[in-house]
Amino acid sequence: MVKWFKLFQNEWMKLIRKKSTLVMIGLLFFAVAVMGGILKWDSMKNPSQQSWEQTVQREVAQYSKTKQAVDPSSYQYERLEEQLQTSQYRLENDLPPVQKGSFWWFVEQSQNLISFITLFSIIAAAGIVATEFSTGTIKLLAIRPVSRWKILYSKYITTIVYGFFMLGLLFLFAVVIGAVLFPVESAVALNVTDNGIIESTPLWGYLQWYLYSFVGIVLFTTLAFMISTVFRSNALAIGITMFLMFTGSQVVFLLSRYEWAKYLLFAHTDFTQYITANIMMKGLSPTFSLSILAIYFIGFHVLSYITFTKRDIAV
Amino acid sequence: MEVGKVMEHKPVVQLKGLTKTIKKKHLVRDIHLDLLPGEVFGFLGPNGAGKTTTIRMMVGLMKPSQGQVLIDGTDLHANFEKAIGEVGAIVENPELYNYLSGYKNLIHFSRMHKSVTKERIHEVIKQVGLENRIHEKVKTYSLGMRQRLGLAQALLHRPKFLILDEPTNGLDPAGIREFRHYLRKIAREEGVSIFVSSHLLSEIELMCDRVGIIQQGELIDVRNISDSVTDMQWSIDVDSPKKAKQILVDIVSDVEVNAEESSVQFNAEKDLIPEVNKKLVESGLLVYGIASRKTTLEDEFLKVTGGEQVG
Ligand SMILES: Nc1ncnc2c1ncn2[C@@H]1O[C@H](COP(=O)(O)OP(=O)(O)O)[C@@H](O)[C@H]1O
Ligand SMILES: [Mg+2]
Repeated sequence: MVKWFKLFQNEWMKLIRKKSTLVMIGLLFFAVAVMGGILKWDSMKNPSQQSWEQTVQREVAQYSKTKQAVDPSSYQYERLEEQLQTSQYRLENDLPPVQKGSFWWFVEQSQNLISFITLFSIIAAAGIVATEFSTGTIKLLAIRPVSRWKILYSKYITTIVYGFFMLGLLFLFAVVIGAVLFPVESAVALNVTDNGIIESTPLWGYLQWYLYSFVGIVLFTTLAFMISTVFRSNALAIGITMFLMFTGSQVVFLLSRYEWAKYLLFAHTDFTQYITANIMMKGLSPTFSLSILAIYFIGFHVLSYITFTKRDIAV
Repeated sequence: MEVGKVMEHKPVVQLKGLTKTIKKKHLVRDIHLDLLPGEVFGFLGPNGAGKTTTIRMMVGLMKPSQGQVLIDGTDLHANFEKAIGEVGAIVENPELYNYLSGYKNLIHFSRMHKSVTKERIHEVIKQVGLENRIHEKVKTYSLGMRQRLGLAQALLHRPKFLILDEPTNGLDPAGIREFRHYLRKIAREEGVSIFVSSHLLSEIELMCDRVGIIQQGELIDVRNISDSVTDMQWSIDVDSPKKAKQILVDIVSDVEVNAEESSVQFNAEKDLIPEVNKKLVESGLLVYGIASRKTTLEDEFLKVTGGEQVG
């Protein structure tokens, strides 16, 4: 019947024309700029004392030590093994890693601001359903020749696209501000493949980091969206989701001795653990994480769907 | 009423035993009602009678506990997208997106219908008289302007059936008069069936063809009101009421003889009275007095509600 794209257009218009959205974009730019300023100042004040060879050697020592404590059949062991290989390769071929105070280094540092994007996505998801109820506009929305579930999913898709858009914006800001403040030096990233070690631009690695971070953003956004739909309350959705975002991984850390803790959502929301190989607990792998995340994801959707399509609208 | 008679169509909307029960309390109970094309139907009842609840069920915001809503023969709950496409509505206040312009609001709703063109949007804006302010944000609008914009969004897709829940809230007397004429116009010219709820008797009386009275969730009476609005009831004291009746049956309707008071009673428009008087005098009857009485809906309403005041 009515095209999905039109529903998306509507939701996007309503989201993007909110003052809070403009404020978020402004804040994001401001945050990247401030970080750029501070890091510039710091890298000029405290240039690195060690040569890059020393740094890499220190890393190698650390990886080897960690490796001994890790189960050889685990994912983590595999990744540590790879990192040792690439570090060795660097030293042998005289390929310095990305240098502190350089453009690529700043792009890498921008990863620390990704939690802002999670926060912004949560805020958008928490408001997109609940606000229609609190302002009463849901009534005019729900009496159109569009089934309720289509309205719900056009809203969901919009928040996910919004999260992706903001993430892209962060990357863009980081590249622009990085290029303005820091020297653009060429650097080489190393990847272990079946055909040995391959040299490439560091760009792919950073994009991969952003993409892996997006997994967590999607889950937190879906959680906030679900709470917003079930309780029809913006504040509750933001409050609960943020609380879980800040405490969830702590709780998993405390419980990591227990086997069942690996079924907790927050053991998996930080998907970048598979890049750093700094894995939260034993027995995790990307496929296992994705399966657990999929189960929670579907659960959140079922709850949203049922409450939104079945419940009376009496605002 | 004329249009209703001429078209004599099957009902646009049928409510069949509509009931809403929440926590064992009947908010609305067993409402049966047929609405005809081109008809303005008034849904009158005191605050809390269940008007909005009935309307929420008629537009699918609430699911009836029992009963059915048929729109143009289509069951609203079985085939929502098809049935609701024929409906335009304002439920309670016209809540729109405050931070968007009036125009953006209309664009928004038009995208949710199959074929609302830009031309149609401009046409509706003109119809409701919002041309000058349509590109301003809705938060700057007065309540009256919001009502107009609410009406505009309800009309965009040329619905066969228009539901307006207490639409004159916030309008000034001039605005109400204009609104009334406008409603009658679209009912007459476009054959739209209009369902207007109100707790104000005077309002319903002036704009509706038929009225249903709801109290404590039950539809206690449905009647035509157009006659009582245009016609007045007259009483003429004459020496021979029987003879007067024979003379008058040709010109006026519902002539009744009141032998006790030696008078005749009938319904007629005011314009006819000089003619009536002339006829009686020419026939040699002695006319002692002519009295008029407007039978308002209020009398009828007070009768059916047992004297309980509305509103
Ligand atoms: N969602 C609800 N849950 C319980 N009671 C309700 C709900 N909505 C309305 N009511 C009650 O139902 C009655 C009818 O309300 P409503 O339909 O809004 O009346 P009206 O529109 O005629 O003023 C009122 O007593 C009201 O308090
Ligand atoms: Mg009401």
